[in-house]
Amino acid sequence: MNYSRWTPFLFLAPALAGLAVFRFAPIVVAGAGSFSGMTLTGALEFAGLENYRWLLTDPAFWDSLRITLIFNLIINPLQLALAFLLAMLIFQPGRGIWVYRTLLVLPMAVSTGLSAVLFKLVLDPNLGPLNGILEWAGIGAQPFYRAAEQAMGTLIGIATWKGAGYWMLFLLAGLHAIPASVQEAAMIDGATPWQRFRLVTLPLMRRPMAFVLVADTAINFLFFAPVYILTGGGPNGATSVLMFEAYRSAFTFSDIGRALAISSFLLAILAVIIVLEFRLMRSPEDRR
Amino acid sequence: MTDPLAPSPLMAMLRYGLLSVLAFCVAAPLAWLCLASLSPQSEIFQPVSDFSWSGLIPSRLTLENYRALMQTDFPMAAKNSAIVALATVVCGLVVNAMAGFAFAAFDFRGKTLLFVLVVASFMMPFEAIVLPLYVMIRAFGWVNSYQALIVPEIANGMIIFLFRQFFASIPKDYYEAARIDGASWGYIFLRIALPLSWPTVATASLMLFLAQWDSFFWPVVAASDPDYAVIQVAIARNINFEQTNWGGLFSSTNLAIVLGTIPFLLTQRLYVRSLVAGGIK
Amino acid sequence: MSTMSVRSLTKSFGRTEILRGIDLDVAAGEFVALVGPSGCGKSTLLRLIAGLEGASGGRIEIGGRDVTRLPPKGRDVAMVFQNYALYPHLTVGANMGFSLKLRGTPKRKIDAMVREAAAVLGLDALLERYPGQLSGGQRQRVATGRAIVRNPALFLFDEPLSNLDAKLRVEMRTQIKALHQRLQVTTIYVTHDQIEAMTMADRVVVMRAGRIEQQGAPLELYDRPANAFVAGFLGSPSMNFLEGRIEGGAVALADGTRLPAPGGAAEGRRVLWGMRPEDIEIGGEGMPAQVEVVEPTGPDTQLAVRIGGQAATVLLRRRAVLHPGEQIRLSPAAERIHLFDAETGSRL
Ligand SMILES: Nc1ncnc2c1ncn2[C@@H]1O[C@H](COP(=O)(O)OP(=O)(O)OP(=O)(O)O)[C@@H](O)[C@H]1O
Ligand SMILES: [Mg+2]
Repeated sequence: MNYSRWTPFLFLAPALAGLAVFRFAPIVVAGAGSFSGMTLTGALEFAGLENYRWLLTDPAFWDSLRITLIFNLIINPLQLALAFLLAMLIFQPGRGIWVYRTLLVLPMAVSTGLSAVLFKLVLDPNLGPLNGILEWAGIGAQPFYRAAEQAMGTLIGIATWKGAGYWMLFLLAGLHAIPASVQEAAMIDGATPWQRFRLVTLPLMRRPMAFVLVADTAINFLFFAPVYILTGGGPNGATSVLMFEAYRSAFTFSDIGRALAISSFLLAILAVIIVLEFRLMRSPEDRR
Repeated sequence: MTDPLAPSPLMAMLRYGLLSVLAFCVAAPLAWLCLASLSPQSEIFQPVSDFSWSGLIPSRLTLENYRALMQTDFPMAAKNSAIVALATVVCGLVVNAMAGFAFAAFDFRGKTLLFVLVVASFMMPFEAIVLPLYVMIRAFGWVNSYQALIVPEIANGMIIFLFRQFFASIPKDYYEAARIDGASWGYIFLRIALPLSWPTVATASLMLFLAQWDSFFWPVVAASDPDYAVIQVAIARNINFEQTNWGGLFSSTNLAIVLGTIPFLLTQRLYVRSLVAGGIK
Repeated sequence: MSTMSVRSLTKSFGRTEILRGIDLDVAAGEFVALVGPSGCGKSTLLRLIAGLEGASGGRIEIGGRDVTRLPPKGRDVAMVFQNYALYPHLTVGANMGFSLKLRGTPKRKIDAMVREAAAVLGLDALLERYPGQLSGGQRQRVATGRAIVRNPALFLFDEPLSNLDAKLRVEMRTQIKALHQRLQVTTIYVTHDQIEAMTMADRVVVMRAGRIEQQGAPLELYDRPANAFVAGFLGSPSMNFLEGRIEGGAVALADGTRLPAPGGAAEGRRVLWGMRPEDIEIGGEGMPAQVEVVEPTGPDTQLAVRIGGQAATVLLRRRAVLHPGEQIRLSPAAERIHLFDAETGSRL
C-alpha cells in the first residue's frame, strides 16, 4: 500500500511516547535511582550498591520479603482453585446461571480501595455486622485485621472476594475452548464424569490455568491498597508486604533510594513473570 | 423421557446450592452497605454485643445520609474523579486507537519489537512503577495536579492491543479502496476505521475508566491533596482519620461503588469478551 | 457384532420436532448408510443411538438390550466424529488406548491392541505423535483407529470423510469398507456423499425432515425409488422430472410434446415423468429437444436441453459433437421410465 515512511510513526508517536515516558522510563529511573542516595527533597548523590547492601542486611526487608512470599504462596493457588471451581459451576448452561455469573464478577468493578473500605466497615470489631453474626452464632467476635495472626488471612480473604470472579472469566473462556465433541468422544469411550474431568478437562485447561496463576502472581506481588487502608503494614509488621515497605521507605522515612531498590527488586521478579507469560502466549497446542 | 446427559437432580441441587452460598458471600457485603447507607444515622451500626438479624433491615429508608454528603469533601472528590476519568477516556481512546491502527494497517521497521514492548507494558501492573514514576513527576513539578493523574494513564498497551486486533480484522481492501479514491490516512482512520470499531471503542472506554477507577496507589502517592484527591482516595482518607461521620462515609462509599458497577453491568458482555481475548490470545 | 433397532423414536429440541418417529432395524454385521438433505436429522439420530442426546420418545435396542435410558458408557458403541474429536493432549497411541485404559485393561494388553489396530490402519509410525502434528487424513485414521481398537458392538460414523480432499476421500472410503469386511462390526454411517453411500453400504436409508423416506439395497433404491424425493436425491446428475398429464397412454407436456409412458396410470392424471440423465440416448424417433449447453468432461458429455419448454439433463457416455441451439431427438430407455404422482410424489 502507499504511504510515506513516516506515516506509521505519526500514528504511533503519541502512544509510544506515553509508554516510553510513563511505563519504560520509570524502570530505568528505578534502576538508576536504586544506585543513588536521594531524599524526598530531591538531593541526589551516587551511592553505588549502598542501597542494596543496606537492604540485604536489613531484617525488615527480609521480613517483608518473607511476608510477601507467604502471601503469594497462599493467595495465588487459592484464587486459582476458587476461580476454577466457580468456572466449573458456571460453565454448563442452566436456568438463572447468568444471575450467579453477574453476581460473582461484580466485585471486579468495585475498586480495590473501595473494597478495602467496605471490608473495614464489615469487619469493624465493635460495630461490624460480621462480628455481630459471629457473636450470634456463638463463635464469638474476631479481631480480623487488628490481630497479627488474623491480619494476613483477612487481607487474603478480601483480595479473593474481589479477584476470584475476575479470574473465573479467563478459565471460563478456557472451558469454552474445549471442543464439545472431545468431551463427547470421552463419554463414548466410557469415561465417568470424574474421569472426564481428570483426564480430559484438567489437562486441556493447563494453559489457561497457568496464565491465571502467572498473571495473578504478577498482581499480588504488588499488593498495596488493602494494606494501606486496613492494616498500615501491621499489626506488628505482620502484613508489611514489599510494596508497602517501599511506600513507607519513600514517604515515612524519606529514603527514596531504598524505595527504588525495592521497586527494582520487584521489577526484576516481574520481568521473570512476564517472560513466563510470553512463553505461555506463544504457540498454543501446535507446539506439540 | 430422561436425558442420559442431564445431570442428576442431586448434582443440580449441589451446583445451585454451592453457587448460592458463594454468590451470597460475594453480594452480602455490598447489599449490607447499600441498606445501611439508606438507613437513619442512628441505625447504621449495631453494636456487636446486641446484634440481631432484624437490625440489619433499616426501620425506614432515608436519603438523609446522601443529603449530608453535600457538606463533605465528596462533591469535590467526585468532580476530580469525573475530570480525571473523562480526560483519560477521551485522550486514551484517540491515542491508543491511532497506535492500534498503525500496527494493523502499516508495515514498518521494528513493528514486531514495538508490538512486543506494547504487550509487555500491559503485562507489567502499573503499581510496579509507581514510586519511580513519582520521582519523575515530582521532577516535572506535577505533584498534586490533574495531569499527574491523567497523563500517565493515557497510553495503555492493553487498549492498543484491543484496537490492533479489531483493525486487523478489517480487510485491507477497505483502506486501499479509499486510498485509490484519494483519501488521506487521517481521513481513513477517522471516517472509515474508527466508526467501524464502535464495540471496541465501548470496551476500551470502560477499560480506561475502570483502570482509573481501580487505581489507588498512584493517586495516593501523586495527588493526595484534598483539592485533587479522587473519590477512592478521599474515602480511604475519611475512614482512617475521621471515623465520626458514619452516614457520610457509608453513603459516599456506596455511591462510589454504584458509580463503578453500573457502567460495568451495562457493557458486561462486550467487556468480558475483550478482556479474555487480551489475556489468552 | 450385534443388532441394533430403533422403534418409533422421536426427538424434539424445545418445541421443534427433529425426529418424527424413526423405525430402523440393523442386522448384525450390516453396514447401513444414512443419507438425506442437510438438517434432516441424521446426526441427531446418530447421537441418540450413541446416547449423547436423550430420546423424547420411543426405544433404542443394541444387541437386543434396551439402552434408551443408558448413558453412552453403557451402550458399547464407538463413534467417529466429523471433526475427529481427538484428545489434543494425548499421543496417537494414548488416544487409541484411552477407552481401554478407562476400563482398567492392563497396560501390556492395551499396547498390544493399539499396535494391532495401528497396523491395520498404517498408523504404526505415528503412535508417539500428537494430533496437532498430523495431517487431516492421518487424523481421520486415528479417529477410526480409536473406534476399532475396543471392538464395540456398534460403529457410528458421522460424515467421517467430509473434511478430506477428494482423492483422500476415495482412498479412505476403500479403507473403511475393507475394515468393515474384515471386522464385520455393525455400522451406521452418515454421509452427504451418495457415492459413499452407494458403494459402501449394504443398505441405504434415505431421510427427510425427521422421517425415513425409503430404505433398501443401494441399487434397489436407485432403480425403484419409492417417490420423487428419493429418486431426485440419489444419483448425480439427478433424475429429470418433466411435468405432464396422462393422455392416451402417454404423458403429454404442456406444449403437446408426448413422452412414452408405461401403461396403468389413470387417464387425465397429473404426473411427473422421471428419467435418469444416463438413460437417454440421442437419435431415433424420440422426442424433440433443443441443446442449450454442452459440457464435455472427458469420458462423458453432459447436455443441458429443453424438452417441451422444460429443462432436462442428458448424460452421454461418450464424446459427442453438438452445439447450443441444435435441435435433436432423444430416445429414453422405455424400461427405465419412472412415473410419480405430481401431487404426492409417490411412485405410480
Ligand atoms: N441441540 C440442538 N438444539 C436445537 N436444535 C438442534 C440441536 N441439534 C440439532 N438441532 C436441529 O435439528 C435439526 C437436525 O440437525 P442434524 O444435525 O441432525 O441434521 P443433519 O441431518 O445431521 O444435517 P447435516 O447434514 O447438515 O449434518 C437441524 O435443524 C438443527 O438445527
Ligand atoms: Mg450432521
